Amino acid sequence: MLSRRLATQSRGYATKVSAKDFPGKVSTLTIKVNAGSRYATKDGISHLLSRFNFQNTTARSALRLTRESELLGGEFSSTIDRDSIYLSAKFLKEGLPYYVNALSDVLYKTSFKPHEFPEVVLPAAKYDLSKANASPIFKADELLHSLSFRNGLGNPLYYDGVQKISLEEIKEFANKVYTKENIEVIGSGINEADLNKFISESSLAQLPTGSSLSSSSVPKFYQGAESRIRASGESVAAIAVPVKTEEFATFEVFSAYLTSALSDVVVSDAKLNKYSQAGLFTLFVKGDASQVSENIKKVALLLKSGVDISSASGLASTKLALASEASVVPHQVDVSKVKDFKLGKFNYVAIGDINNLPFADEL
Amino acid sequence: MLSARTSSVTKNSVLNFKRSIATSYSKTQFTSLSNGITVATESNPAAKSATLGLWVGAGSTSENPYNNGVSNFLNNTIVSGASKEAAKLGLQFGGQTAKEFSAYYTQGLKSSLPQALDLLNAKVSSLDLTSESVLKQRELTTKAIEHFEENDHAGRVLEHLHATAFQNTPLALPTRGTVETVSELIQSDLESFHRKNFVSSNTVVVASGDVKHEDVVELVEKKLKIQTGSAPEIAEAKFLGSEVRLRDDTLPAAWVSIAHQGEALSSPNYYVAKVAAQIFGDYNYHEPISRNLGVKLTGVVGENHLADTYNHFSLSYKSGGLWGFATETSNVQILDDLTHFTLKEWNRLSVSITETEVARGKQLLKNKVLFELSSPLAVANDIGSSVLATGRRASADEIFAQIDKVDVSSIKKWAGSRLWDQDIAVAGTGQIEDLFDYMRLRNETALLRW
Amino acid sequence: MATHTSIVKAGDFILRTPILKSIFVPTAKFFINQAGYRELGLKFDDLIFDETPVTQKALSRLPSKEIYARNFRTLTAAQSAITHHLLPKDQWVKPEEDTPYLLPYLLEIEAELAEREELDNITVSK
Repeated sequence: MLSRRLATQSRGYATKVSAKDFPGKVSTLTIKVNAGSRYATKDGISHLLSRFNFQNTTARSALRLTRESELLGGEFSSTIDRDSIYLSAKFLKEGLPYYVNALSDVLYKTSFKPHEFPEVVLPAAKYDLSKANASPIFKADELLHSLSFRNGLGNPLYYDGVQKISLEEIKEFANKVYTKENIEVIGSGINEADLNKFISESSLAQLPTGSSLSSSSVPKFYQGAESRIRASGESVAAIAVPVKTEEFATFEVFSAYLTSALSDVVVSDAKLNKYSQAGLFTLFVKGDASQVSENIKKVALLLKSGVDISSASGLASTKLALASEASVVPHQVDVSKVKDFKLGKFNYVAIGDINNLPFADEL
Repeated sequence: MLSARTSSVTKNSVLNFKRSIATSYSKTQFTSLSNGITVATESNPAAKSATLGLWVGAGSTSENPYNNGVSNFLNNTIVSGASKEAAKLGLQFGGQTAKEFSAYYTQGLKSSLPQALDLLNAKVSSLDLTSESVLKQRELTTKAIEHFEENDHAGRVLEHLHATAFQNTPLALPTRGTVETVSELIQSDLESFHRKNFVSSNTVVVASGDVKHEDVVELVEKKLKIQTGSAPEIAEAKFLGSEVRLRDDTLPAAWVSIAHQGEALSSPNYYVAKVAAQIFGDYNYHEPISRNLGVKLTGVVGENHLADTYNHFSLSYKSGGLWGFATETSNVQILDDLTHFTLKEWNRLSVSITETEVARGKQLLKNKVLFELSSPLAVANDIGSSVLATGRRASADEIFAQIDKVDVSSIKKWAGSRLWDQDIAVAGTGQIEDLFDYMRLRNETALLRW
Repeated sequence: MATHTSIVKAGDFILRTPILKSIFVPTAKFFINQAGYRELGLKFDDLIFDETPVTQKALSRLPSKEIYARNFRTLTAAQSAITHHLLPKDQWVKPEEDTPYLLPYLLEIEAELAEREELDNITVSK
């Protein structure tokens, strides 16, 4: 830790920077900010801040940014998950100086003009929410997070207007999270020395110092809860288990087992959501209520009786390799020692035609 | 076995870097074996997984109206039959059916490549079907087709666009087949389709990601047994200006697609048409960035909410193509304005397109070409489909050089012959009462004065 | 057509040039008094022609307090006009109250449009 401090101080900025150079013509640059929904000061504020990214800055307007980037050959995106806001640029390699500069300006120079909030940010946020809510699996996922963690990781991912948020509050949140210590720059297809050089010349070097919000304690787990929501459309029954980091491997293999042809049960999706300090394993069965009811009972029966999942460890490592190629910050998990799995306490959610979906105690 | 010809294409930089940033070049390597199989690989040192698969020139264009859907049905049956065995070996087995090819691939770690090839040989190359699995997959496949027909309106419109534009030619057949045709197919249909089409000259073995070309060639020589033979001839696609309307006022929006005859994969104007499509690009009313794009059409569409989304395409096949756009709009009463302004913008390609618009389109096309190849599977699919269609795969540098050649005059010349006062194919579903009749749309393809 | 931006630019030039300032400022004050809008309870920015996209957008961006005050002034003035009365003198808008509350928004929107115009017409140099 001490050596890192020394190294970063001599560099003039305390931001963690990592980059890997690959052959090819494309570079990806991502700024990961510890400002995901778990760190939200009000429900949905991370989402709104994320939608404010790439709006007008004092250096250039959103219009100019888009037009310049089109001609240079790159695209921007700002996405959120429960841990982080990710500001990304994907561009042709020679555009590095421009894109370092443009991304940095978003953190340091966003104007937060009052009219942008109602004219641009709110409608876009509303659109994200309505698009996500069209999927009953998303609704179930949100509910399971809320049941399993209550606060923090249980916060809603998107802004839904339940807690009103003002522009001032978004600005305050931005000032809190956009600090040197709370962000990490990750490059791929980029030479690290070049990246460091351009960062030191960019406004990232002028970001205020603060402290990392990254949580270092394991959140409290809540288990045995149930929730049911009536809704039209397809029905979903879902199970979640909060997971400690040391159990990640078991649940990775278990997810691979359930979603592959190795198991005889039918699940729409099963995955381990990995966050810092904790994870949430989720399993969804979707379709007609009668079918869902039958399938979720079969799944629960299988899991409660215990299953040998060692046959899926190879598939799990393949899936992890594929996931790590696609993700910005890959998690390392050793799945070779996983043997079997038995379901203990869990949280349960039913959405849709709930009169025809089983209760948790019927599973 | 002999490796007859080994060639490799190296990417050279044609760009002037503003700063010196270290970069190296990746290669697509080809080997043609004496029995007619082509092995094509691209290794990516950054990849942690290896994708290995067979790309076979057997999609819906290899079918006829009576066995339409057989390639999709076969694909589903083989993939589901191989999945369990693959999973035990730590491999993910997948498949895909398109108009002109179908793909069978495994994704896994480099160490499992030999097992992966064994599996492909056992399940794909030499067919191993049980009547039980065929019946089960027939039920699942027809269900999936039904689901597609009922829910994916944009996809359905695109299928109907092909069906009307290329009527009575192989490209008209829907990729998945229809419930009627697939439910009539039996095991022997699958087997005879396999026998005819899964032959050496019609197959490319593709590997990408964490792989070495020599290793793959050696494995293929040792393990893969494919019948030698040549692929059946496929009739040429012919474009016919026409329309199909599936009006359904119970749906919440309108889905429309309009297209001109486009360019075939081997056409010299392939990249001109691609750039022309990128000039108008994609649009989503709800995304803030849509207001800032450098496209004149988005101005009028955005201010009046003429469309929820649209995307312009230049689809190319072996013997034909479609150039046009597909749109979805919930503002169904001004569908006429949407088609009017869009077609008027297309007119500009022939008469008044600007240098800046073309430069922007070229740059966006370059992005698209590169950004889409973001995983070993995407790369493998690109290699497989292009080698099957054209016998080769252009390197990124070749593509960039071709795109750089496109300029205002080539766009104007191309649009003047392909778009200006030319027939169109129209397909629509949903609330399309306000979609102009064919002749009014056809008349919009030219201006009386400019 | 003159834009608000060009008018402000001309105004700034006049204020910077002592000789012009000494002529135009008293004349402007004379005209304002002759126009009499302050006697109806209006501010100068209330008189700006509002049936244009630029003004409409500016009005949509006004803080709610400003837009309520503007509507109140408009209603008061309309009432005064139809009853053929001026407001009592103590309710006249004082010169220091006659602030350009709308102008900054108009200038911002005109700047946005000018930038869009510029970027719509850029040429790419090879």
